[in-house]
Amino acid sequence: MELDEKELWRCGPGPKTRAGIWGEKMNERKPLGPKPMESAATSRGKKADAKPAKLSREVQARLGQQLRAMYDDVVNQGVPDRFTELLNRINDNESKDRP
Amino acid sequence: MDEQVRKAVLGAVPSLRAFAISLCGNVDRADDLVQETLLRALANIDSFQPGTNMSAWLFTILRNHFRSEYRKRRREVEDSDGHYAESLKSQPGQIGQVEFGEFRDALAQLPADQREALVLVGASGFSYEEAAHICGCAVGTIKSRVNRARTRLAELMDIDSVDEFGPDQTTRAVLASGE
Repeated sequence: MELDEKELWRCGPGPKTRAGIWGEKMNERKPLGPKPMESAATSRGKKADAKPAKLSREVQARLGQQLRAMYDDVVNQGVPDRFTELLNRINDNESKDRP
Repeated sequence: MDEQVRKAVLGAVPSLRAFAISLCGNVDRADDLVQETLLRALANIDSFQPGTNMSAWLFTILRNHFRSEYRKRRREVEDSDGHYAESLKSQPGQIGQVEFGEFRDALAQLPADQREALVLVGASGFSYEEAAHICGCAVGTIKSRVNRARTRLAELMDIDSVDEFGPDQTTRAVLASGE
């Protein structure tokens, strides 16, 4: 789904952010005004005089994609046995404690 | 244990682990953190309000426990044993290996506040409001942390435009086509 750029920036912050802010839907993104940039000012050596970081939609989408890929990689590992066993153990103990 | 509770708790484990790994930077410690979280949660299950978001409740407990116990130990050895990298070896095919490694390193360098905000909103799928609740701060604070996090990530990875994302033509083509 491709959003019109203007449309994208016109949308104010809304309550719906389930899809994540970096995905295809970025209607949560504020129009870029002045914003905190201390990290850019203090930590950037190589490109200190580069234009203030206004990340393009593509860059944001790409970073978001990577973040989710990393996260989902762990999620897709499912539930390791130790946790199923842990809950079973707790269950057993509860039954024993019951009169 | 109520079967519904059991299911909800187990169902939350995969994302709790992913969140914990992003906090600890180490799979073994993350799993310990998740285990301690579950024990705490189940010991206090009476304080869980049925009908509210179980996952957010567990994330809150995990995050607070991490803050009080784990953070002291810091991420000092970060990934000296390579566990983190190992857990991620099956990384998805659409992102190049080098780029993926760069991203992981950059994420690890973010200040903890920014990283957790970014992960909660950008990967765990929580709303800003939920993330604010989990972190015990204002919604505006979360928004600002997320903004700073992604700006910083781009800096760390030295990205000004998507063209600098490495030689991954396929992905760029997909992006360009608006897929």
